[in-house]
Amino acid sequence: MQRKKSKKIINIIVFCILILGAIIMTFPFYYMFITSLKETSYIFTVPPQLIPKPATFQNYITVWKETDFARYFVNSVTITLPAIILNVLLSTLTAYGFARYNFPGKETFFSLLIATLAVPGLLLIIPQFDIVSKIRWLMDNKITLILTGGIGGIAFNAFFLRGFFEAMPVEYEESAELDGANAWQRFIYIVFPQALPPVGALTIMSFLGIWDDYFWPSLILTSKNNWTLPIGIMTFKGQFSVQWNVLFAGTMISLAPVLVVYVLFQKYFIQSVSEGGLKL
Amino acid sequence: MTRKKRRKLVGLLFVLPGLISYFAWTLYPIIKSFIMSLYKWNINPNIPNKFIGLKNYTQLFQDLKFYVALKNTIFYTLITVPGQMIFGFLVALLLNRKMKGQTLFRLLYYLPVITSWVIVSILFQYLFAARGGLVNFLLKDLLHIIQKDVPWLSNPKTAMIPIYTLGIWKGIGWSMLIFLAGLQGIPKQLYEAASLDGANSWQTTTKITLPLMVPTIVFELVMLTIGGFNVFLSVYVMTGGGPMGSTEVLSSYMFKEAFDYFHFGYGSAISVIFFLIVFTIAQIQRKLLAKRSF
Repeated sequence: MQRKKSKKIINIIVFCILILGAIIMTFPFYYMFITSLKETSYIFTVPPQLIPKPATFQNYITVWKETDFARYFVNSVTITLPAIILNVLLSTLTAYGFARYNFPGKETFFSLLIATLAVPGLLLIIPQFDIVSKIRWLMDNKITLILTGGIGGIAFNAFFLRGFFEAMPVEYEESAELDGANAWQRFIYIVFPQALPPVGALTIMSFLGIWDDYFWPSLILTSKNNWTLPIGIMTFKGQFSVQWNVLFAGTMISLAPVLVVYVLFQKYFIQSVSEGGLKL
Repeated sequence: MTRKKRRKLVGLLFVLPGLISYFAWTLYPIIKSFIMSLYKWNINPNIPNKFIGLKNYTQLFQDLKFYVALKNTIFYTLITVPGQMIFGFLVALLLNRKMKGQTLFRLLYYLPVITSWVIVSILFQYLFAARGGLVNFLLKDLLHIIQKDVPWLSNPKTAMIPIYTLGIWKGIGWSMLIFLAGLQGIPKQLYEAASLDGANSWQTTTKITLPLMVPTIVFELVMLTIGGFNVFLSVYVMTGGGPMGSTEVLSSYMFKEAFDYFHFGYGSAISVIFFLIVFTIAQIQRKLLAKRSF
């Protein structure tokens, strides 16, 4: 009885600490959101308003209508969607090939992939920019970003997925082979559906990486018509540096798709990150 | 064609598109950045690149700005890596029990991780604003820790503090998730046996949990150190390397040299040195900590 009671008290204390932590982690987001609802004269009041009064959606309308934000949004979507599909397809094909087949040089190639995992992608941007800038057609072209987004991070992704494919039972594929399914059909109809959780996690990672990328697109997309959301936001920051409410309306619009995707798929995501992340 | 040969060909076809992309977009650029660092490189294809041997490197080692950037990067890593790991571990310990709302907590703590660096950096710049910023309000008007508003980001002495804070805050969720996975991998029987033997929770934590978590700790240490050395957008957005170059880090300095001043060869030399440092640290950490666990 005594023990049960003290356990209950501990649970309550733990719960309180966790809630305090959760407030620290999420309060900045709340603050960003309410600032985006404030009128300009209320953004730096002391004490700060924690519930905006008056609350207005005017900043969202300003950002969407009076700037090119709608176009940036469309650009971000048209780049991100095909790039994710390309990236996921290339990564799963590669990982599956390494997991299920034997071919000359297999382990050498794979250790090469692993050896360069520690190379931060950031460091490659100078030579990559040099390559792209030498081909005029690639500069200021959204297709370039679809391609570079699509082929980026293959090494890590293949490494991340290979383990999942190897752990999958091979029997289904074997019986499909006996029934006359070719390698491509087995991959699409048998393997892919079974691998949905890790592939889902990969899709989200790929989405975040491409959707949020700022520096690389800002180097490639020189004309304003082609800009993506992060470039737009950074430019706003320069222009509207005093109007945080308008700026945060912009960041909220850019964050919204990320939040939706994350909340919908968080179960797969968390599972795969904690399992896959540890396999290094 | 025999079946075995066919299978080899099919396997090769599966990996070929990925491998080609990898060679073209990762391996070739790695080699190229070594080569570029030996040149006075011109981005304009009409002007020939001039081979200058190790001159970029000798210049780099006399460059005071490079040392400031290196020092800032090292401090950033030394402060944010333990910060993320300690808080992440504590949260994981607290969450590692049957309780209501566990999924929600994980969701909330992970929120900063999935938010882009651009957005959270802008947000923190606002929170740390000198006048009317939330942090100054908390410290001055609410808690009375400071007497007057601190101009966090425009004073060279305090400018790194918001950057450290952001680095820790943003990384706790990832650290927590990886630790949580590690904790859930420890067999429950060990704790049951220990509790039968009368061990208290301090003893089970130090004698069971920590030793069995060594691989997870090593993994996090390596990944977070690499991440710490890569600190870039928070500096770029919040201070732009200023005031007076006081918050410059390796990557922001590299970018500035390459894309503001078009010193592509010099920028490449910075990135080569940068890579060698990260690679060496990661290897040392792996070796040292792997030994201690046995």
